[in-house]
Amino acid sequence: MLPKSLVSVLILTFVATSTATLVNEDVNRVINLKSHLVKVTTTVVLKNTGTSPVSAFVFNVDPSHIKELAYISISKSGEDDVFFKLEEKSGEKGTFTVSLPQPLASKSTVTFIAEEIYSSALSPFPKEITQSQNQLLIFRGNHFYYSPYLSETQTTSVELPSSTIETYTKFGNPSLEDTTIKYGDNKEFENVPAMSQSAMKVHYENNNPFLTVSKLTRVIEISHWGNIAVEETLDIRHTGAKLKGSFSRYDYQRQPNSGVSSVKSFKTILPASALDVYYRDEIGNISTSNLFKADEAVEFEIRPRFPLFGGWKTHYYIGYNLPSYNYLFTRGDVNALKMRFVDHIMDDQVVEDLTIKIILPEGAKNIKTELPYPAKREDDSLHFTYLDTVGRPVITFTKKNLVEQHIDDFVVSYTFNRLLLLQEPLLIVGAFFILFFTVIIIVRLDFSIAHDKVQEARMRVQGVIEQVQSHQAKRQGCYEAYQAAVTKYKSTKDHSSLVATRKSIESSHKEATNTINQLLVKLREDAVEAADKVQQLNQIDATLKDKISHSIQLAEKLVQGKINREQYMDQDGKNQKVIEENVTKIEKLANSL
Amino acid sequence: MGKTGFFRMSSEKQDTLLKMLILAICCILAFCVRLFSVLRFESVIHEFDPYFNYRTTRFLAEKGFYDFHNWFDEMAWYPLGRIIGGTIYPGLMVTAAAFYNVLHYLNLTIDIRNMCVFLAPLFSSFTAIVTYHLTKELSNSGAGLVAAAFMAIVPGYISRSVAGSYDNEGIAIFCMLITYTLWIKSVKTGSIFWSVLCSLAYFYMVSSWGGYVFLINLIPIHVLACIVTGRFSHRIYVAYTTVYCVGTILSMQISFVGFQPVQTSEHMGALGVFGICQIVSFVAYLKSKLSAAHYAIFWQALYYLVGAIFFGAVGFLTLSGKIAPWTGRFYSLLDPSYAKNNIPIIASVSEHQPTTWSSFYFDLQMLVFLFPENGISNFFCDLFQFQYFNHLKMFLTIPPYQVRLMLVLAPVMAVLAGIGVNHILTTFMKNLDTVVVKDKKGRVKTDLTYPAKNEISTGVVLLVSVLLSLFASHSVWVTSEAYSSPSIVLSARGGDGGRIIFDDFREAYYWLRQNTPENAKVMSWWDYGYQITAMANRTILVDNNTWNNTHISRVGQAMASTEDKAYEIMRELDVDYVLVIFGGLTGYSSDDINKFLWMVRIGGSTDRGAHIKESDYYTPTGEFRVDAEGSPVLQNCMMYKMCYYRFGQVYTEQSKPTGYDRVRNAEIGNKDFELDVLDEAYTTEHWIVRIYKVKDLDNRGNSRT
Repeated sequence: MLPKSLVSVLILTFVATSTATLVNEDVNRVINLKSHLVKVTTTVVLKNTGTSPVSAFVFNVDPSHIKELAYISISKSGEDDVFFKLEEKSGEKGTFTVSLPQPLASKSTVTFIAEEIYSSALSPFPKEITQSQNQLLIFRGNHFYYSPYLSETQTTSVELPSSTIETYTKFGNPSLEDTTIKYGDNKEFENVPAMSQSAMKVHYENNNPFLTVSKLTRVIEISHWGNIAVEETLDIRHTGAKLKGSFSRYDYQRQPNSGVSSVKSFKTILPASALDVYYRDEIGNISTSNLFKADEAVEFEIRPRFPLFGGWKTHYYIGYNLPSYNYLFTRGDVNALKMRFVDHIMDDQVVEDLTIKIILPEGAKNIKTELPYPAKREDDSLHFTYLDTVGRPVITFTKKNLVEQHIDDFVVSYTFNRLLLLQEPLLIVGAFFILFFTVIIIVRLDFSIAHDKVQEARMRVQGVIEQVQSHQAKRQGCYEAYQAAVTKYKSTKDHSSLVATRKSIESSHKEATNTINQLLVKLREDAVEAADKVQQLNQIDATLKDKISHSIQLAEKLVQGKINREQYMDQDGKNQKVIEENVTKIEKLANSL
Repeated sequence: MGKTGFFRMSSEKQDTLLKMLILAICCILAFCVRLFSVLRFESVIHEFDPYFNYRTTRFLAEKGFYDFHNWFDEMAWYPLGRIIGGTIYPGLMVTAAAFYNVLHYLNLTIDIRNMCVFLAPLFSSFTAIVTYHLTKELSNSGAGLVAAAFMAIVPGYISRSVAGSYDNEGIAIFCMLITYTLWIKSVKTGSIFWSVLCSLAYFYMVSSWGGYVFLINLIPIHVLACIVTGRFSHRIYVAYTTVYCVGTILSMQISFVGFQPVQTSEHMGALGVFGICQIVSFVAYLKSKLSAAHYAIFWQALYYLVGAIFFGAVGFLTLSGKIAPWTGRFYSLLDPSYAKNNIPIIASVSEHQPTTWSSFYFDLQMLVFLFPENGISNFFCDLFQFQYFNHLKMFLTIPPYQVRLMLVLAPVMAVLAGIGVNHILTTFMKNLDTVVVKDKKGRVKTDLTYPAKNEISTGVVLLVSVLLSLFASHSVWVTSEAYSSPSIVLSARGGDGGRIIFDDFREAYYWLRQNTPENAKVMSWWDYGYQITAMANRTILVDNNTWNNTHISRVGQAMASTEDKAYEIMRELDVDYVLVIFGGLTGYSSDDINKFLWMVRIGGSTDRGAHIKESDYYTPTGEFRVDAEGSPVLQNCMMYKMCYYRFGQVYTEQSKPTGYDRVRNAEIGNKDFELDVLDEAYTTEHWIVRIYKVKDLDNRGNSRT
């Protein structure tokens, strides 16, 4: 047994010495505890003390916080946008192999900046506070920079939101300046061996919003008519110290220091072109919100229905429309959607669980995706909404533990035949066409099995009577024309024009009478009663006509001087009376048909 | 006549086109006038009962009909629960869910909430069409169009059918009118086809509203009136027997109705008339076969026999409990003071309050004056031509004792006023057409028997037009001012003229939904029960389905008792949270302090609440006061303490002391107290809703007091 373990120790030492060619010449670490996130920024001067050039080094995350790591990036100092490639070692969580763009030559140095963000690495103590108390937190960390290499010098500063500090570990005699604790000006921090750990603990006051988005579902729906609809459903929790005892509205409204750690509202920044923004939950619109339009963004002040105290949660959804020309790029049939994978919700946001669904237009094919960071692709599904027939393809991704640094663009490209745009309008047109066509068919065609003789006869009679009535109206017109002609004749004494007018009126009257007589024959077959009435009508009409011709004769006599004016007045008056009587009779009769 | 007018259409086609256009406009108008609250606030369900309907509809749409039918709702009436399927009229929910499912089948993904919100306006449009047909059957299509227009905007109906008012009445009026239309149709034709359709419509009515009792009493009364006036015919016989048999069997399929149609007094009239119909027909048959002398003897014998058997049977069945006696609600219908004296729970519902005359004017306006016009000119002279009027008139014999009956009155008024206006207009419009006859000297000839015919007609037509437009503007005004408030969101004018929204109800309900344990039991007065289950999704003790008087009484007792007594009751009822509505800060007057006397009355109405006496809560002079002179019992009861907890420190109005209640206009009497058994769990921004958590027993298991 013993030799075996000896061998293994030897091997270990060998491995250690072989990698020990790298040394941290100087480490400068800043731990930012101002918000509910822990942000660690480490600037390291790395030196190759070996003889051969090195193309990669190992970066370790502090072992006590591996689970809480939300984001890590390593960039070259002075060049913020040059990120080194990180690769997590399989089986060793929190250990990353960082490849350098150019191999580090022997005896030379490289300075890199590592940025790590940890969510939920702070724990409230006490765990429950009353409304009037401040929120206190404990951060547990490492006094040393945790590295597989020897660190020659190192400093660590802990930045706190306020100067109220309960306790902090006094390892290596740290200095406290206002809100910053500084470790490192001590020989304890010189030539620290690899993988050294020393427990650091800071207990301090932090009343900043401790909001965590426990679930975010982001749905992006594309319409090729020029719109992109975005809807985000959120579950938000206050993850700070829980509220103990009662919530007093009176204190909350009147005492300035009451409920300092609670959250009344926060700001969400939406894209500048966002339109029709809504903010609702299951029971309707949330009326307590404000929208500010700025040039580069739309600021949306979200105020939940109630203030969020420790342990309280809320659920809501917001949605807005975006014009597609900003996000949707087209070449031929190929379209590419470029949007943010996760968007801004609040400052220092933490999203524990994200689901993003991208609903492509109906008929989209050859879907390819390109993500800024790995995420789990769920099964594709179909989405049906207004006027869909085969369904819209839906791509779903899920990812856990996201922070502000994850706000980055993804690209989805697909092919879409533009002619398919016309499918939905045509569908409506088709539906209406079918509707009207059916109505036309039902109304115009006779589907009855047996013919209803009575009904048909009635309809026919109705038609005939209407015709009779219209022709009777024509005759009526003739009489009025007669009267007019007579009046005109009396004033102008132009006999020839009277004759001409009379002739033309006569002929149209005859025509009408003939038609009525023909109709009368038809009517006799179906409705004897009506036919009798029409007959009567004809009789009265004949009398009327007589009277009218009599009236004309009288007028002629008057004009020719055969009778004097008084005689005319006398006779014509009587005549007119008869005419009027007959006219009313005819009117009544015609209406009663 | 002939091919005149636009598009060279025959007058018949013009007629059809115009009718359809006017009807379509009526429908659109009926829909749009009901959207005030959606435009002003949002698409949200109103009031209290609609929240229950909404919740059940959502359940139905999600889980399907069988689950819905068998649904035992453990969230209501804790710990009793409620069998939803057997205690509701499912017509409304089924209708909404059917629309929802059909639309979703066609991939029209409308939200179920929007479906519910817009269902009542949609059915108002349908009602306008049905009103047209009904009036057309009674009078002519001109009157039908006017009646449809009236129906579209009559405030009495709008009050129950604005967007968001998702209640049974919204579709029940439609069902009622369609049943009448089909009934008149079947009486006119005497065909079984129409009668069966009528009973189907009746079934739909039964499935959607308890008010079907009107129908099952009015139709027999109509038949009876026909028998009495000697207008009974085979047509009526066929129609009534079919409608009664099929309708009754169908109505018994609704589990909430069950065997009521053959057991309760409300339905006995219909059964009696059914019997009388048989006898009358049988007698008529015998009369045709027997000689006059035999017939007289037989007639007398039959008379006594049937009378004796009928009354004997009814009496026996009533005594033996087979026929339920008239229910309390029915009594209060006939005698408005009945409820107040006997059953506080019925009286406390505002819908059951007697109608005031002003609300007649408010809800019907000029229809009140227009219907007698018809009544005099048409009804009496046409009485013998149109027996169907009997039927409509029967409505009016039921005095609308209750506010909700205004709803039943509105369609009748609309139909009658429609006929009346049509009558006036057709009479005078004809005179307008009078051709100006000129004599030879060019002077206008006037008819000596009717001087100034044209002028008078113009005047009358103008007057009617002015009245009609006044009615329209009154209706729109009433709708916009009185009936378009969702009552779940309150709004007020601020000092600067801007609108202030009080969204406290939803704030509190949502807080309950998010931040209390899922199985938490919430105690509140029953008014808020439906809203809490629907919006907060929490179990409640009592709700608006006030079926169990003792349970409500127990809650009333808890509210009206002192802290230690109340704690016992709350422990017994296993309450976690207590919710009260308090308007003292904002001046919201329908709060729990103003309802408190009902709690006292109902609380004291059972044996266990015998110690609660209404008189204890008044001052010696008999006033209900919350200030220092108020009764000490009141100032130490649970409700008072919950409403005014820490209110004594608040300044509400300038130049007034702290703790000034803006509803009661008084400085509260008991300002400085602590709650021993409750914790303030949440109070909304404007203090309208206050939620308290009931403390557990202390560590030794003793009460906190």
